[in-house]
Amino acid sequence: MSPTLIDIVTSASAEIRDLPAVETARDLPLPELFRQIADLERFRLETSNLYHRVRAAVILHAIHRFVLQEHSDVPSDGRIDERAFKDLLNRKFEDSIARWNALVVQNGLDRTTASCLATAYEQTAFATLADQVRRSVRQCAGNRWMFRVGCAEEHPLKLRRELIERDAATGLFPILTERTPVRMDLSHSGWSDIFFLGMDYPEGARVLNISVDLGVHGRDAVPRPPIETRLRVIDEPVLRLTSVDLGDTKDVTTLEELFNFGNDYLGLVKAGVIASGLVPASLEGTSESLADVLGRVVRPGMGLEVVSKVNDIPKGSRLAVSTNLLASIISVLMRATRQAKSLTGGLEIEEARVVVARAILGEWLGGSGGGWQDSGGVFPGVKVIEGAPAQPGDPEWQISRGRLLPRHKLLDEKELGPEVAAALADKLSKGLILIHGGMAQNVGPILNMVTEKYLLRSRRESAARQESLAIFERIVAAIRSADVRALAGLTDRHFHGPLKTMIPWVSNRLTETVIERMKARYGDKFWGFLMLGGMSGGGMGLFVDPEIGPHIRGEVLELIRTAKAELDDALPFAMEPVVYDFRINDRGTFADLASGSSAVMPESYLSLSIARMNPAESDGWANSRRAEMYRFASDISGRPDQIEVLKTLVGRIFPLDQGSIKPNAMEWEAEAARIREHYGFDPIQHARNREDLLRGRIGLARNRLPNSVEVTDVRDQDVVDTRISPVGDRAKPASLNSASLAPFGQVAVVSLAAGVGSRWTTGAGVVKAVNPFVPIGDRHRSFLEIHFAKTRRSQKTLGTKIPHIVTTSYLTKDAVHRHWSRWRQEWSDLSVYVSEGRSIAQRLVPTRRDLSFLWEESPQALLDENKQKVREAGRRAILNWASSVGEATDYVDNVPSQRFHPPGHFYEVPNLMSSGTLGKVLRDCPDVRWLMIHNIDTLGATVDPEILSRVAERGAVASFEVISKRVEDHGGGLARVGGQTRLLEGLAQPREETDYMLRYYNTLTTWLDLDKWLEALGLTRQDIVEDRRDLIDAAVRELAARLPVYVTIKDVKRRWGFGQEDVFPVAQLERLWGDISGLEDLSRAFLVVDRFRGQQLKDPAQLDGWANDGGLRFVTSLCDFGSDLS
Amino acid sequence: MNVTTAVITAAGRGARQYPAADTVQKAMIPLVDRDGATKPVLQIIAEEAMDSGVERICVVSAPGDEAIYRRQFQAYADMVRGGFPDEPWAVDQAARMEELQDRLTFAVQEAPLGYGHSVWCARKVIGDNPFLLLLGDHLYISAESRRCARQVIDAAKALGSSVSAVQPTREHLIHQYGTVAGKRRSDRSDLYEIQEIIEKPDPTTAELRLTVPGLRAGHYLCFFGIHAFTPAIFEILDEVIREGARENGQFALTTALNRLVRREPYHALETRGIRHNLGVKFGVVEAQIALALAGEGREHMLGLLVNTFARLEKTRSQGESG
Repeated sequence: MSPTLIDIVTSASAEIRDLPAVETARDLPLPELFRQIADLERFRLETSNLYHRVRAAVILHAIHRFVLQEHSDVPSDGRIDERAFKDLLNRKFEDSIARWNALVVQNGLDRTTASCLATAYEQTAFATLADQVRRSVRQCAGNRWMFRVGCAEEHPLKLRRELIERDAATGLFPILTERTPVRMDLSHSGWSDIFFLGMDYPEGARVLNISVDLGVHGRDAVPRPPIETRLRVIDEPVLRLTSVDLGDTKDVTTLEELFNFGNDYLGLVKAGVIASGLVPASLEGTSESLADVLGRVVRPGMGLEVVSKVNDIPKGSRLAVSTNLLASIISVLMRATRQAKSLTGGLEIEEARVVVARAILGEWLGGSGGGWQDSGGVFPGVKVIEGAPAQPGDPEWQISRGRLLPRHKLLDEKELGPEVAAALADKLSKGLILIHGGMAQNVGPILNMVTEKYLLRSRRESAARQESLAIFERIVAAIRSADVRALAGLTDRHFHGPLKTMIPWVSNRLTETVIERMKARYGDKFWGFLMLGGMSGGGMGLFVDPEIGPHIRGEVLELIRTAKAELDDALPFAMEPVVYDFRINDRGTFADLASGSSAVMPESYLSLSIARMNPAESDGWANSRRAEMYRFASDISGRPDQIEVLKTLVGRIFPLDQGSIKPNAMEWEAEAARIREHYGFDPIQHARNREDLLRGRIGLARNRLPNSVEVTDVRDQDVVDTRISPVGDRAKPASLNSASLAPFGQVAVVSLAAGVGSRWTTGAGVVKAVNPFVPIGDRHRSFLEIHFAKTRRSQKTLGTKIPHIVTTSYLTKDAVHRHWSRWRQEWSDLSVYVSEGRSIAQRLVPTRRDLSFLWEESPQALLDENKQKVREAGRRAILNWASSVGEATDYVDNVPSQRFHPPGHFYEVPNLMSSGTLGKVLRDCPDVRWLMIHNIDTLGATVDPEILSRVAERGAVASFEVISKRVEDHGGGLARVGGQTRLLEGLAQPREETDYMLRYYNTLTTWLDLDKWLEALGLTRQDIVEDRRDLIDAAVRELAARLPVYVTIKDVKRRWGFGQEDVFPVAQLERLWGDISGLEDLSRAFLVVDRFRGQQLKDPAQLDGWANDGGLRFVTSLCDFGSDLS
Repeated sequence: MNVTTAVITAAGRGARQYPAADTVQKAMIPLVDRDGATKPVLQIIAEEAMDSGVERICVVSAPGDEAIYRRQFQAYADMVRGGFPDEPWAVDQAARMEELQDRLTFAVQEAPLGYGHSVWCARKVIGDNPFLLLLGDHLYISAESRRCARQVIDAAKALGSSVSAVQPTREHLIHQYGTVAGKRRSDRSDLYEIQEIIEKPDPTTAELRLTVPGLRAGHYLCFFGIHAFTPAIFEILDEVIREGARENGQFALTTALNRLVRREPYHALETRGIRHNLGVKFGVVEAQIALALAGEGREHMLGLLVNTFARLEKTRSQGESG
């Protein structure tokens, strides 16, 4: 008998355990699959083994997602159960799973419910894992006591005496400085430093990790440990925390403030203070006073200050800067509180291990993530870090196979021999060029994908993982023989082979371009690529011949800058690319104690602290502060850093306006004024809108239809089902060859590309249309290229010309033009028209009322306990921000382009007319009768003659395509509103529960019968052809006036410092295209289409599912990129 | 192993009792013992030993202290006898002090070089005999009929090895004590085979190295201040001092004990009783209250405490209302 799904989870035989679960399930007849699913679910609920529970959940997720959700024998349409969905949002995963399973027993499975179950199983798997990591972290030896301290009196730590001894001559307390390198991972090992992989497969969890000093090429004279943490006693009972790089400093006086990780930029420093044991985690939420805790550890009435600095190393370097900073803070505080044997010098290996455990704790507290190798910088030099099997006495014993904490084995001079060690250090620092490509990325989704794929053991992934392990062995061998050329070959093969196989999303157009150009430029002197962290695009490595390495760094930087400039608006960049100089640090984290007149903080710290000090109140300053100012004043010699401090001081006495502080402020203002003028910004309407928003006449709550409006699901006769079988078939592009063809040759395609797609890059301002997001064939393709490729294929298949119009706005116009001019050659067989946006609106600071409504009244998924705490603290800070800058004032604290927005996608079609583009199309192709309008992210939308024939049959002005709902399709859909069938925006739903009644979701794909449409607007084809703007504008205004205006809140990124980003919510006023379906005098039709045709890609987290559920395959089959691949 | 000699280390000056301790020897601070008699601390400690079967006691003291001790003992005996000529308790107390004086031998610690060094100073007096080691500033109140020291001596005798008294101690207090890692013996739940000793550990080190299976979470086995040693400890201390193996400038007893672990069986006994450190803030007061509550003065002390508290409260409430 073939193994069951339970066997795959539990079998002692590796052969069975490693069977690919999804492929196995796909081969089963449906009734047998249902039986096995029920068995596996029962098993999952009963087993106490963590690994079994998680793997069963992931397999159940994958079967629902990839086998059942689009299974041809499973009915397509269902509703999302309200109660179960709310349980899901509130993280009651087991309740939601139980409820949905009960519904399946009662009504049978439909694809909507399959998608719900898939999500619930996935989330419960990750929550179970997170819980286990949390438990293990708390139970690591060395961490436990911090969860037992009940009050200040019970605090077991005491500060070392040396730190309290104030220098008699200067009055200064000594400063303990911890200097910590960062870590560089040469092996990568297929993300095996993810906790779960280490815990489940300790044999496969191995990395080669090197501590390195860093310098920015061209800026810093020599590489040095990039992280510096300073600790000093102060004679005030507070914790003074400062992050020099993030420009934030604060006197923390309460425990509540210390445990608040989201209201400032000091979250990481706070987490470090707590994880070091200085303020034990168990004191959170108690009524203890921070002053008492400090009094007990330091001295009554005294406190401590911690100053962190990463020497302006940009964020996203993939060198684990933040984890090592956390480790550095923990180390310095452990030394100070006698938890390390020696106050200065290096750490003992056992102590460094405690720092690792504490850093993991700190990351968990602060809601950030990191792998178990990340704090490797605290250890010296080169080392292998590997998973360790759990032993009796470990908190993981009998729970998981491996321990949370790995083993560290140093490959030091003793191990390698002095000659090899020296050769390795020399060749690496010359031959490996470390770069930051400038991209800002979120690695989180990648890590979840890795865990999931590991558990599912698909054949390709398993083989890739084994290959990755084999490469690791050879990497270690190359290190042992200091063979950098071999090393380069291996890391290169690793990236292009197993890593890309496991997760295709690790690469991007920037990375590929850089590699391609390095090859072209340096030929066989370019030895290979190194992916440093979770994905490429930020920190990366380029191996070259060490002979040329030191001389070409400037050129390489230029090469990357050029590549970046070409992709600037297509990929999310946070900063200009950087090349680093580095060297191996062979002592690990290291501390020095400075006392007397040398116990001074860096000038950059003084600038920060002076900005908060009021000279008029100098009488009230603590002695140590006064001493520090005296010391600074007596030491002024005119050094540039001292001048900076003095400037700050002058600014403190004579507050200056923003313009003189921010270097770009004037230029930005001018650019903003230019945009306003060029796009006909209407200040009067804007002032009226602001007034309405402030007074609450418009707002999120007012978006909703009145509660009295009756909303129900549509009846079957309200829609045209274009899907092939009643159950619902897999979408078949083959229908293009159907004989029953409608009037093709009269169609133009309109791709809506005015929006930037703020969800796609969480407000980064990247133009989604030109974002090359998916590798198809030989390179990464953007949304727009895919749409062009579909049009090309349709043209070929239908044997006719199909004009393709791309709408833009002020935000996207330049990017689309720029990229189109580069692509033009490739698409010369297409007639492409770029339509420009005509209108613009100013973003506003949201009102507190709307923010509260968004966070409290609309359904939101709770996060993991600590992340939720961080989120809530962040929200409180945002509310304060809104009040302090002024509710409903213009949002101006950003680059000019981010201050405005296109006023909603309704305007994109009218803009086609008023910009003259439609006129041009009609002049070029007078036969055009239909516009197929689709959103930029509806990748499956294509000119399907069969659908067009159904559209034509109905004879409506506008025909809208809808799809059967899945769990992610939340917020609105197709409904009967007051007895009339129309699309209902999520924003406009009168009640939350409306959402759960609806079966169909809006794809936004619309077929417009051009003549009927113009007639409805009171225009003629001739008006358009002759470009009668006055008539067109009047008609558009009249139409717009009949549509509701919604207030929406969108995220916008603000960039600052070195790769830092903040996300702010802004208020926008928008009119939406779907509301056209509510105009009673316009005839409408609604077509249910196959899911692959109508699905929209809103979030990069959807990518992997889309690539694996057949979505990508379907889209690729519609495309013609002009080569064999399609 | 028959223990009939004891060492009491009393060379420290007691900086925390300054200025009293500057004129009065710390060990001569008078307290009312369980039997109602007022005694110098040293006598109470010595009686702990003598009631446990010890015959000879060596007090390690600072140079010149012997004469002062002896003079003070004699003066005290004379004062008691002269002040209460016909009182039987006075006669008895005076006789006990004189007997104590006869049993005491003094060894001089020339310089304050650490606890290990001070024990080492008693080697000539003790010779090749097992001995009981007590601290000159700790008092013990047993929770059973046997004295705390007796419990240790009995265990040493039964096991034929060195034994140190320990008590499970909460982690926020362990930075004051020597703390041991050990394995509980299968035959007796109050006995442990000692594996390692760390002096005044921080909680992190304790959790990594000193966790003893079977103890409550957050509790460690800390020295209680009573030990019964084989004479091997003197050999080891000899080595330690010859090698100059100091920790923070001092010859710690812990250094020697960690070597003892490697040479011969060495056990820890979870002792039933309470220890009072006179060297800490309110230590003397607390010890006095405990002694009174554990003996004849129980009612009196309870009355005193309640009365004091009530009067204070009354004065305070009057102060507030006025």
